[in-house]
Amino acid sequence: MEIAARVAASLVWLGALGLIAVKSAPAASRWYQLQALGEAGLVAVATWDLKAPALGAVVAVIVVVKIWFIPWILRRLSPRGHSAYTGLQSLGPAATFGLATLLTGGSLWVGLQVVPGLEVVAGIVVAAWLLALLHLSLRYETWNLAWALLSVDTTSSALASLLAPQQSISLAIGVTLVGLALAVLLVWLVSAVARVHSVFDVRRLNDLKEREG
Amino acid sequence: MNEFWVGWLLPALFAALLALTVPLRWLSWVARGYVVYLTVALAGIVSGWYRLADPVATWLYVTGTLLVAVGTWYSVPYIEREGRLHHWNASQRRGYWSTWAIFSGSLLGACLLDNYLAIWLAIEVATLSSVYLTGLPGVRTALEASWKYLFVTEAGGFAALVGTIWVVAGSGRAIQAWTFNPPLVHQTISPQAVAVGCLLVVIGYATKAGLAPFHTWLPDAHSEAPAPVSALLSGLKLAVALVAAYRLLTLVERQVPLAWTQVPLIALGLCSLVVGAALIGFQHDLKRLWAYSSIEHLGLISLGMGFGGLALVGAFLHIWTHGVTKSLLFHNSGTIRLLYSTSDHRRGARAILQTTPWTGSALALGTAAILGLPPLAPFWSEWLILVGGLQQPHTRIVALVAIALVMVVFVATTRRMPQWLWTPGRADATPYSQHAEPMALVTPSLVLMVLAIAGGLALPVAMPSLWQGVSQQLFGA
Repeated sequence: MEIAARVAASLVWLGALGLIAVKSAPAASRWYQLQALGEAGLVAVATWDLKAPALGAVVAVIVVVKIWFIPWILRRLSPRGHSAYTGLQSLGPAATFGLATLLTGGSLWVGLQVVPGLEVVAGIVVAAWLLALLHLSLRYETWNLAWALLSVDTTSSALASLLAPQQSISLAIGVTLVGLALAVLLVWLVSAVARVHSVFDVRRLNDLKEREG
Repeated sequence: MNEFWVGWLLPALFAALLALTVPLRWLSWVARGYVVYLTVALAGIVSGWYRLADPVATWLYVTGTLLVAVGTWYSVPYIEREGRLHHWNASQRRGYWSTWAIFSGSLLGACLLDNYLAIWLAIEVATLSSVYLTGLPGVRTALEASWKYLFVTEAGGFAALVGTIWVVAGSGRAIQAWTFNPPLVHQTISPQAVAVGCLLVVIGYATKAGLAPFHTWLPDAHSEAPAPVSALLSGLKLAVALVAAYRLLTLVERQVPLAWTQVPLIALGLCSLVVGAALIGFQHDLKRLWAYSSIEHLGLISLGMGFGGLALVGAFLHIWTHGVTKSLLFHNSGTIRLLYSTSDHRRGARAILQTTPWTGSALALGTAAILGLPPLAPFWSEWLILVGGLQQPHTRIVALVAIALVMVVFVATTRRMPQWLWTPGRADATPYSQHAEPMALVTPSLVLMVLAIAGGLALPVAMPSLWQGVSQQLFGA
């Protein structure tokens, strides 16, 4: 099952990286589904390892909420997708991928040092988590920042389920439902920002301090 | 987990559901029913019908229930007038009441739940619902504040989730256990893992608590949210997040060096005092001024938790005294916004004491209290925190610096406040209501005024067994 866990963790990592490079909202949805599949895979591996079939309920909730429902809700943001630039343009492709490599290497080292038993898998998921946080600082369109925050949510809950697979099922489902609430809130907020400002790039929003002169 | 958990969860959800379904004219009665439920719940705790996990949880719950009850009471007249003034539609009104029930219910849940993951979940629900409430007015500034609030605090929130798992599971404890002291189920993964977890817990929950340098969301969110929401954010949510961090750090204080538990709390506390002292004197909007004051006071609470001993007891007393005083001040700012159409003294919120005496008196009293003037409530808790810091040789210098910064805040606020209270406005700048202040808005503040005057001593005196339990628990920590 070690191989399965590594594959699942790699999907989470790949999803985080893909969401940084993506240019359009529909493509972001696909990368996010891949990442959620990785999270569901990690919980499925834990279900098998712990011989706890009840954890299957968590897998089912992740599949329904993150692979189906959240992308369906966020498709409402698709018309607002800006295709003029990607996250790679903030630092440049070379610097972005270089930074991603550094973060991944560092995370693998952290995994080896501090998480005995889960070294490589934990390292990969920690790397995905850091990439998702990096994503938050690289993109400026509201629709893409929404995906960035959801990526942070998915990588965080993947890390939580990896480090504490024996957590209460109701609480694990609760953590997944936070992602759903976040998605609904993001759709509402992005739509409201678009309605009031007619822009999709948060750099064009005036800061409150400017208003105060 | 106990039956009271269900007793708390169901009424909040029921109130939220009712707010979405009943006719609009009944919304205020739903709110009044919620206040009655909260009062009964409070009476249940005070009279000993229910027992929570420990005295600290009970202390937080008593504080929280009172603030939510008064906040709901104030919301009824406030939202009615705010909605009329800014042309809120039916869905905005329903959205407010429904989300208010979820927001306040999740905050109370965070006070009384005794599972670390459940506490994180409750704080998350409180954050998401308050982001919605902040952006609900739908104007440009509210949406920008809501956007910033969501992104900054959620990044912190997920760091807190990872940190919580890392601290509890990493230290070999059962994450699924419903107790503040989960049993050991296996050996510690590694001390480094727990230390990394402590760091993430501090960063994550400090972001939720608005401690500097993670405070960037706070002034905007507090100034743009409807006044009852700002009051509950400042008086309860920030403190609940800080208590969650404190509990987690206490859990592993014997497994990691002191530098990973006490020192971050002291450093963040001091940093918050510096930010508060540096910026509070430059504020022209009353709500922004109280937002920076919240950063300062959460810094004081964080310092007390870091100092330990007597200061720790002071920190928990300060959660109560700051909560009631800041609720008074935010409700008061909301009333000023309604009456003067602004809370910025440059745009007409002036001569408040003369033109609206009740509102002006509440502002003057609340300001004196929050600045720590004796014998008002926050004085006693601030005194305990600072004296507690001075008592210990290794924290004495930090306590002296903190005293100097508190004095800077005092001078900056007392220089600024007359511009709202006394400076005469223009001849044509008449308030919204020239003579009468709506008593519906004033009455809830009267309760908070009494508590801001006497609450520092009254609560420990009125509930001696609870206060004794809290002190024993904290001194034992």
